[in-house]
Amino acid sequence: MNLRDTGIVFRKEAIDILRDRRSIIATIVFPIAFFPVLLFGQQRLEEMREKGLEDETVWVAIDGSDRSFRKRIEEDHLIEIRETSNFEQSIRREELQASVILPATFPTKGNSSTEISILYDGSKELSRLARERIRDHVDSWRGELRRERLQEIGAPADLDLVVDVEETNIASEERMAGSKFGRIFPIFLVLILMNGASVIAVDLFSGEKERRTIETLLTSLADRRSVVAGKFLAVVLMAITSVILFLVSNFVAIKLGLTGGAAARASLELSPGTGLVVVLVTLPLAIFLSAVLVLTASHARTYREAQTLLMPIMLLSIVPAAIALLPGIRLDSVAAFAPIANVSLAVREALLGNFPVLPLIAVFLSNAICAVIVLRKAVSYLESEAVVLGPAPSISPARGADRSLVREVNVFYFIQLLLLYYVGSTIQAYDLLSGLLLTLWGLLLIPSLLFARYYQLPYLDTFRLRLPAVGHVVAAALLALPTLFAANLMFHLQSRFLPVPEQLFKEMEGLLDIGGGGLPMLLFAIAVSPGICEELFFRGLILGRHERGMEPWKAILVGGLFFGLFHLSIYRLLPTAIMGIVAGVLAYRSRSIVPPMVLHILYNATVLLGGRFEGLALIDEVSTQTVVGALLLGAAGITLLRTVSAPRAKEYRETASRP
Amino acid sequence: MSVMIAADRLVKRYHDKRRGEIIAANQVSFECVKGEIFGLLGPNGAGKTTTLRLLSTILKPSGGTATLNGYDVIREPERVRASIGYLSGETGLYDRLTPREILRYFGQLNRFPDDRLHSRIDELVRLFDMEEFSDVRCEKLSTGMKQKVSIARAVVHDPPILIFDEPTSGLDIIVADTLLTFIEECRSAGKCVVFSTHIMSEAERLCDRIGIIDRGEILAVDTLDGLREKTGERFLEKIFRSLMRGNPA
Repeated sequence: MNLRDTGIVFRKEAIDILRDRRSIIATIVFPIAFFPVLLFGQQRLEEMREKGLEDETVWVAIDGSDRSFRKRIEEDHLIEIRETSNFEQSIRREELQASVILPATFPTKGNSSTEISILYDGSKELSRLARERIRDHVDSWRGELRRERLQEIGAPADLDLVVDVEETNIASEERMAGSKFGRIFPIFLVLILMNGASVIAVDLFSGEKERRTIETLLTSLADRRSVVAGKFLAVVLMAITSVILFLVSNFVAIKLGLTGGAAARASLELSPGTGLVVVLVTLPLAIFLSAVLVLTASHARTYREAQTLLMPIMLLSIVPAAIALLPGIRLDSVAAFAPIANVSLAVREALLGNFPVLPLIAVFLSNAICAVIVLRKAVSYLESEAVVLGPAPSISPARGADRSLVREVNVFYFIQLLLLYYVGSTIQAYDLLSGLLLTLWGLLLIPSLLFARYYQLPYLDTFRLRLPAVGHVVAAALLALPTLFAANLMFHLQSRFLPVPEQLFKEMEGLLDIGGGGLPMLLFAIAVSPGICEELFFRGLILGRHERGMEPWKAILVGGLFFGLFHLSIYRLLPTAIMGIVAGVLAYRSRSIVPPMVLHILYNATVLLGGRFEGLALIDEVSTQTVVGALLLGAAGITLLRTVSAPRAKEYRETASRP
Repeated sequence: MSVMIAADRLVKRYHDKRRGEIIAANQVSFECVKGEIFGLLGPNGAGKTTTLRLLSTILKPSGGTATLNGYDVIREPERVRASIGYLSGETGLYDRLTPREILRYFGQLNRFPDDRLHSRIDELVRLFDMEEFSDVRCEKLSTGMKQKVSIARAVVHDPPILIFDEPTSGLDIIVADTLLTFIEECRSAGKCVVFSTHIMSEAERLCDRIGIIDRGEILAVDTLDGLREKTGERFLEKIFRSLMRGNPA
């Protein structure tokens, strides 16, 4: 890459942007005006509405002969009493806002009580207002009655005050406001960022094609990386500018008292320090999202096409920002690695005055890594001829027939990972059992089949749908317990360096304790379904494609790590990866999906039943018996696997190494 | 005569979803020397643009190669790009920049020495009569003015080879004539020009030699007189039809 060229391209793009009215509106005017106008408008509207309602007269009908209560209502100049024969119908027709039905007689003495009915329409604002006013009168009248009664018996006025409650909110006004403010602020932040960056990305990349300037640029001496870098810098700079302007505008607007409500009280928390943290965590997000936008915009040939492509991406990027702000989701060790969502959470924490250093570093790094991955993809696309020729998917006769599709399957895997995190976790939070089944069959297996269909991959070969040799199945069964033992051993070993939080144990126990359908249903959800769906996805699709693009042992290793990562826990990563690697070896040696399925089902079933039957729980213990038992079973399984599968494996390696 | 362009069995294959494999350029070979205008003549979709894109390194060949100014398009694309000026009839400009800014941008990107760039831009502004609008944003210029800027942009770094892909498409007669005159001047200045067109009169006026291309294949390369002799036809349209008959689909 040539820095001089990058600088030249960047300078030209900066001039171009600053002369474009649309870009200025999107990246400068909109971020400055958005929040103050929104809050100012909302505040004024509320004031106007409240003021309007305060002076509004409501029509009320009274049924009953008690003069004293009627008199109270009559004296209220904001309540007009009307007569009607059918209360409900009149309220529905809006001839009345509410009606009060008084009892035939009022208890004036003794300890008897009575009931007053209020009829109103809760769907109508004025009707609710009428109800409030009537209730106020009832409450004050009731208070008077009580005092009179207490006086009659010569008791003190606070006799009925048996237990009084005094609440103290230890949060400062600012912290409370920050808590409320923090729920919406990150969403606006992502919105502002995406809006600004998308306008620039479209102009700089799709616009270059639409204006037909791309060819002249590509025939210049500047190398494509420098051109992309210069343009990308301009996109990021404007994205960051819009975020900073957004923050500064909020800060100034709040300081000047232009905005009211929660934001005004949050003024102290939105200090320059908080702003700096927000900018720092937003920086890699801006780079990441800009890279996504650039990649997308460079695929489009016209502005319109780019806008069509970018709209769903913009909406999708707001979803994780919003999900992260749901109650109960915290910036923990897993959430800190979830792109976009983690920034949302970090910004919320910053507004509360919390600056957890390690999670903030994780937030920064995870978005930066995502940015690098997407940016590399964008550069490689812009270096390809597709930029000039339009998106021709491949030169091969069928989309995937002769290609390893490693890159495509990796992208697919990461999409699945995001789906699992954002959608799978959410549906499992509602109902663990059905959520788990829906995730496995609906979110994992069906998209895998669709992926194979899209790339015209033969199902039987892709998912290793072949009958295995009996020896392979036996080997898989023999290896289940040793694999589980090895995974547990890894779990214990790593816990010395990476202490496992109590929460994880509780979550694991919760998973094993889920009811609804008894043991057979549990076995189906926790052992059989993962055994089928995850194996078809990992050992079928992922391992199968990786085998075509790299050495088998590397493919098995990568597949195992992918499998470990899929369980969304740093503590479970390596133990689960061990299971994935053993299943990968089985799949590779047997050429069939059945042995890894058998291993997976037995593995999970043992974990599930281990929690219920004392005997099986022994596998958790590291003792002489368990070590010897695991070694013997493992040795038997490996020997069987090597003996039975050797000739087939050789034949397969030749096929697999084909480009 | 030094050979400036040597296309050696250039092949470009594409895959199209509906039509399957397409060979846009099939074993295309020709040479072009210094001070020569070489015309690539063929109907729409004949492979002219693909061939010129292969020469200008926008596309990579699926087979064969080409050398421009002694540099190989596959091995030394940067050196090739430094030697060429590329202009297509469809080429656009940056609307929000002025002609001077565009010339400066491409002069810098093409590594034209900074100390000489300003005077080079002045020279081009005078050459193409752009004094009146050289500081006006391109969005306000007429088609003719824009085309002048485009030509100046293509030659700002003073390259020895010029590649023009149907440069007169969409231009009125006056502006087209200005452009054709400029191409003639380039030849006089010793530049090597490859020029694609489907307008026979332009080829008759300009080209020292003509390559007839159809369905990705060069059917003949010769001077206009040579082609006349070969086919027994006088007019290029007839020559073209005669050669096409010898190359049935």
